[in-house]
Amino acid sequence: MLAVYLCEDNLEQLQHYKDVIKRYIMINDYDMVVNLATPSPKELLENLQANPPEYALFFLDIEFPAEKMSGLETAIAIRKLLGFAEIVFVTTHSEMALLTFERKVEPMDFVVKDLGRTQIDQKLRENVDYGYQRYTNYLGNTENLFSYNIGGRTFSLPMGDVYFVATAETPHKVMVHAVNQLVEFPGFLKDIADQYPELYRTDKSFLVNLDNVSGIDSETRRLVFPNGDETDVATRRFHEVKTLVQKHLKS
Amino acid sequence: MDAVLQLFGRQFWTNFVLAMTMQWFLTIWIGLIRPQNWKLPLKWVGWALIPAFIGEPWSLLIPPISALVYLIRHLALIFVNATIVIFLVVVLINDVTRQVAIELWGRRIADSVSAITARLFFQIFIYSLISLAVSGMHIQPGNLTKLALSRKEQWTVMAMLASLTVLAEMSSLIIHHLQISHAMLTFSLSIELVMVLLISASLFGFLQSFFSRQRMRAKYQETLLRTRYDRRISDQVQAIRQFKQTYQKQMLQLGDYLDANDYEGLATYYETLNQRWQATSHLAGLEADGLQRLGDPALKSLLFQKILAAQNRGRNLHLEIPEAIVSLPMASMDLLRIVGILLDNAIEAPAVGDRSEIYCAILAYPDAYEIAVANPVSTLTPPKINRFMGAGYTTKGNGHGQGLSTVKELIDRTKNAALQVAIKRGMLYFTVILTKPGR
Repeated sequence: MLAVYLCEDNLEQLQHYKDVIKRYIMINDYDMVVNLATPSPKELLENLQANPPEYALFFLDIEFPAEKMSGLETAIAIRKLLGFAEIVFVTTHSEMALLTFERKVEPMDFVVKDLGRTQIDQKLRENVDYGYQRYTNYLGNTENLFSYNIGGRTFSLPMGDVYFVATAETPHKVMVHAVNQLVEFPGFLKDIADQYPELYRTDKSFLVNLDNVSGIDSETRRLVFPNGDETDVATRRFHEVKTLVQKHLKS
Repeated sequence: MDAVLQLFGRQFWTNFVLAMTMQWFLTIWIGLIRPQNWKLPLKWVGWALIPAFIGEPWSLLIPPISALVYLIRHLALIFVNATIVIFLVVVLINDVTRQVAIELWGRRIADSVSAITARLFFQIFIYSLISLAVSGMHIQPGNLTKLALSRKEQWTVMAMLASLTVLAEMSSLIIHHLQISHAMLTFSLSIELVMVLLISASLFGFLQSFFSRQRMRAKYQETLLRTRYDRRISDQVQAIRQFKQTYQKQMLQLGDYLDANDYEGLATYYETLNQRWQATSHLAGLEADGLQRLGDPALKSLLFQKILAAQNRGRNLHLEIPEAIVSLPMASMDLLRIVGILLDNAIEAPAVGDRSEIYCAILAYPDAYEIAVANPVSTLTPPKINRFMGAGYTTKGNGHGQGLSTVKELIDRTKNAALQVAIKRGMLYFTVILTKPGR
């Protein structure tokens, strides 16, 4: 069961969001329920502490002029409290400190109120869909994650998005090449290889996710990825890699 | 080693004087002699008394070993190797002078107290010469960071020095063990000395020219950055002057309307002014919004400058600095370059539809700081981020895009830095994470 929580200080809007979401859950027959719709972030947190849900989806406003607490603090508190929490911010454009929210909370989405009612409703429904999809993925454990640590914080991305990990030009740094992402951080290729045995060591400086290889160039002995990147393959491993890749490409 | 060490004799004063000299040399070499280090000679005496009281030949190894430990603990291995080479050269010189003395006047005179003293003075003389040369070359470990040697360069230099060490030590050991007449021994030792001296002289000459080139390069980059920084400040002054002029013009215009008693015209003019002010009002509010929470004045000025630059291009740069930040754990010049390049890149990127907002945030975490820059990108033809970090990728035509490879280079070079580049929901995010030192 995925629990939905709404927090918005405009009571009329709160009721409207609640109606939209409830109706959408019913139509799609999702395993979801609206647990709480409140104008007060304090009440929301108290409720969460009293009976914490296992899986939850939040729709939060950002500014609460009547309360001491802001939407950002609330979201950070929620992240600390719950293991699985997807957060969507519903806010007017002007009050949005986009980057701060993006980096500190990693919300699933922002719904901008200035768009007009129909657009907002559409966005809310999309996010219910998307949150439910993430929830089912999580339950089915289909979402295999690649996690890494920088400065005491853990970041993760779906393993299916990872193309390959390479050593950077300076020692003690590695670079992760993924779909729409590029990350360089201090680390060792060997540690990553130990942690993720599903990644294949094609060369001393490359760890490859063979699932994502889109082609193989036998002449230069390189693997080709959908984004045009290429990685070297060690001569003595080339034959083995080639058979593996061909198997992957067929399936 | 025994044959070499035997030469020092067992007297207290021999050991004491030699240890003092060695330390003098080593301290100059390590580069610690400064007026505030007035206690240093006392430390030398302390260290020199230890081998002097032990009185054994091997005890002379104590001061150089302590110096080496210091070097290994604090600084690059290059200097450890260089120190060993110089030590061996001095030992070799001592050996050769003794053999020459034996050849000329016989063993008895050569090992007499006065001869040993003379040799000691000769050694001190040589040490002093090398010390002077070293301090003249400005290549002490204290200056190492300024040289910005890459790891590969460090290893090359180290390998050269190490092979020189082995060469000097092995050859004199072998010569001592050969079954040859004493004249031959003296001769071959002299030849060896000349060779080792030549090799080390040329090696040091090479190193010096190499180092001076490195220094030149570092200095050039620094001046380059400084002129850029100066230019930014003068740009700011320019912007303020412009603002003053517009303001004066507007006041005059208002006065004209008043003089002509044209209240209707005044009302409409005021209306347009009011609209224009709203567009620039957050400029006045800049100091109140985020920037005042930033402690680094250079970075502050850069951000201010970039906000103006964005406005000139009709873009809006949102700055988010929610918590006070005293300073960021990165070399100031590198930091400015990175932030400057990232913001330029965001400002110069074309607006996507009606989305033209640019975001920049500096955030604090318990163990790290984060600098994030975001700008809208097309969802249909997103830029290829895997091409960013190679030199020359750009969506803006030729001449741009060199910057991002520089960012990667700087991140590469900074130990505590990490970089995330991502495209999410039609936005391109660059995030530099700087972990606090000691974590």
